[in-house]
Amino acid sequence: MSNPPKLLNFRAIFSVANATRFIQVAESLGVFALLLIVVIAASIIAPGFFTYTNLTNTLITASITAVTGLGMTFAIAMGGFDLSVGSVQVLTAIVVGSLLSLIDPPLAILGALLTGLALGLLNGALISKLRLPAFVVTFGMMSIVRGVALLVTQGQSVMVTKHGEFGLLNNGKILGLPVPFIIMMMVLVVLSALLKHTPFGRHACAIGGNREAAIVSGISIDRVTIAVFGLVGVTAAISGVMLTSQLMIVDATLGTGFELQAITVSVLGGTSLSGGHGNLVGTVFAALLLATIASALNILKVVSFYQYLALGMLLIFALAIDTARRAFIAKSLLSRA
Amino acid sequence: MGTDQTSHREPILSLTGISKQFPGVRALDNIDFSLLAGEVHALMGENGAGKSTLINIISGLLQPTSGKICVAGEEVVFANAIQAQKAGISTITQEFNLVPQLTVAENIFLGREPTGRIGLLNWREIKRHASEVLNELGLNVPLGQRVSYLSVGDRQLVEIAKALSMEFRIITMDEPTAALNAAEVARLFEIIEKLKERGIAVLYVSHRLREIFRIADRVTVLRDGKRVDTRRLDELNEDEVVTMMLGRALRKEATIYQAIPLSELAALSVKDITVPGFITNVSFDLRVGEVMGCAGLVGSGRYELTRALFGLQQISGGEVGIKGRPVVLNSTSDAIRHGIYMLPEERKVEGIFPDLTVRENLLISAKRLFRRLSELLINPREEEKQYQGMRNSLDIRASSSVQRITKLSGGNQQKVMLGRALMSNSRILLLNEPTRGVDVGTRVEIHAVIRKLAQSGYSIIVSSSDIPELVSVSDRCLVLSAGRTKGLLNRAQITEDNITALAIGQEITGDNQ
Repeated sequence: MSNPPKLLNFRAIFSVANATRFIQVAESLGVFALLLIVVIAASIIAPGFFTYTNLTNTLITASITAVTGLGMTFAIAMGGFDLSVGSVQVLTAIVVGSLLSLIDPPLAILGALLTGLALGLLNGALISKLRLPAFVVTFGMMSIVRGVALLVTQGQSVMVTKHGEFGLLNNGKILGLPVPFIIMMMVLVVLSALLKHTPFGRHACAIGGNREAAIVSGISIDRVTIAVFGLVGVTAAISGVMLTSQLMIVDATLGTGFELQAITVSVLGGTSLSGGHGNLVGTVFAALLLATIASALNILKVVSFYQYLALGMLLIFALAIDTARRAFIAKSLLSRA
Repeated sequence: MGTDQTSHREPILSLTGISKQFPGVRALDNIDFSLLAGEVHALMGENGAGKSTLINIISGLLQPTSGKICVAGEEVVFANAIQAQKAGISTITQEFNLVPQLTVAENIFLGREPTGRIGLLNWREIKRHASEVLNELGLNVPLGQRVSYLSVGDRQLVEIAKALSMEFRIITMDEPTAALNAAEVARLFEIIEKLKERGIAVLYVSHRLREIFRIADRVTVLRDGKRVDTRRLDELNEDEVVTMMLGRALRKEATIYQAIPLSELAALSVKDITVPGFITNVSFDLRVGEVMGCAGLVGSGRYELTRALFGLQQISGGEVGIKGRPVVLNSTSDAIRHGIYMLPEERKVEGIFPDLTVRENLLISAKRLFRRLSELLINPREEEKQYQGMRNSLDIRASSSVQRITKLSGGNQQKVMLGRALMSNSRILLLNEPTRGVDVGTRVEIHAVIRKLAQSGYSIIVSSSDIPELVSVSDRCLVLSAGRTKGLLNRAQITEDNITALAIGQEITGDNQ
């Protein structure tokens, strides 16, 4: 036998293992590439999109969604999700708005964050102690918290009159970057450290990946569940504070559909609804993508109702991609069985 | 090549030169294989030898890279599992393809229900045909019973009934006895004999040598993706088959038990515990440094005993003591705090975290200390050191610590599970089915590890349906029957016959503690 010349081994390059690795990289890069395409397209077809003011506003909108999206990613990694984030966001926005007329901003913000934490812990406690599905508990809480927000405001708007400097949380710049973006990056760093580098994050992923095995491994499911939902509550409250500083006038009808946005950015960012892992960076890119689309549609004077269509389609698209990816990986794993 | 004296008969299924290339691995290399009508053909090999790949190719789940498949002399290509079924090949795996919410009869006819003139289900026809098939198998379950209420053994028979009613000519069984008790195994073998009489070819995959010799006519042994040989079993003995599988003779030292006097100290004392519905008044002392076997059929309470001691099942009466002090075990974290750790019976269901890496899987139960603030974060370097230590001492074969655990073979996954138990800092280990679905080589290694751990002061309960395993590792052996202690055998009394006799509720001759 003669030795064949060693050229590129195409079979190895396009092998299943490489394809799997490619898919794993593409999971993070995919939404980034999509974002890039949409930004370029928006810059071309929507005059006024690529201006400093508009880009800043888009970044702020994206940051508010991303903060809660990051918390949601944590919950999805644990195999759950939280439908009450929109209501928690609006209630905490009202809490901070009302408290500002009584106390200094730092204490008012603390009050809002504690409210979010308490509601999140309550979600977690109901889920783990009453053994109810997260869907039922957070769906119920979505309505309850919205009702509380309407009751405390009596349907009226809450305006920030004192402490005008509170608006700096929205308008301020640090190193030329908008403060909301900085806040979002800080949440990203903290949650990434929690998810990847602490036993807590690993346990959350373990519960999402195989609940039975997590019980047998001695992981306290209840404690992790309560903590994760508490965390989601805090991120929703941070979004609430950011919302108040953006609008300076809030009412109990805001934030409807916010839970859908938060779940969409998680899934679009590469976090599978079946649990087991979370892609936080992907969530941020997906939030930017969503805000870019919304901004471009606004500039093009597309009736805002169409944004609901776009959001729903994106969610279904993201889920379809995720299902296809899972099927592919299952098939390639079969080869190793 | 093999001495294949049966080959004058026309094979119903023949594979010629089948190869399967995966990236970096040649899973199957030029396999020739033939299955004759009315024979039971065993397929054996260590984990990773290519058995599963071959089964998946035959059942249409995977497509060969090269080679030819013929059914009844005609060449076929299976693009998917449905095409293989249409060609008359039924595959019965450990995960059944039954819908638990439907009845036995509905399951048998799922997807091809006989209908009347206006498209309504013809119930009379369904019942008549289903009861015909079940009678033939000697299976006594009500047709209207929901499958979710059936035992694993009965479900398997429903699968076989389904295959029969569809007039399959080839039935592939992958580890069919893994979850069956002795009586169910005997019944399965009777049914396999009936299948043979009907001229159905059975491809039988199992790790259990004794079963193969009892039921199969021929055996094909694979090693490293190659066919070692196909032989008639009546020309072989067990040692020869093992040598074919391993490529060398089995090291026997590990299975030879070395008698050391039992410690007087009790690591775990169980007094009259009751688990409602499963266990009544069971008592024993697990001594320090002892391996205590635990035997019992399905329903004997064996499964529930280790779970109760690990806080997974409520103990309603009696007392559990550790080093003389009574303890409460309400959750797994209670048990781990008291130094008890359990290896679950079903690795896939309760063991592995498919999304996590080998290292993360190993260290998920590891005890953590928070002496400094920096220790709130996981230290990857420290973890890698712990992983490498465990990898060396258990000989875990993984290409890297950050590869997903699902990429390891069953035997190596099981070693990771064992390593997890050791990393939990527990001195009392409850090992359920420690070598289920593991090849012979790894099985011997795991048994050696269990003995070594006991010598170094661990106290271990090995709960197993695999009686030879209990004989080879136990210092004493507890046998449960119908939720009660039927006997506690000392070393001299531990034999397969004694354990089996007690497990099925008989008395043994000689003194019984």
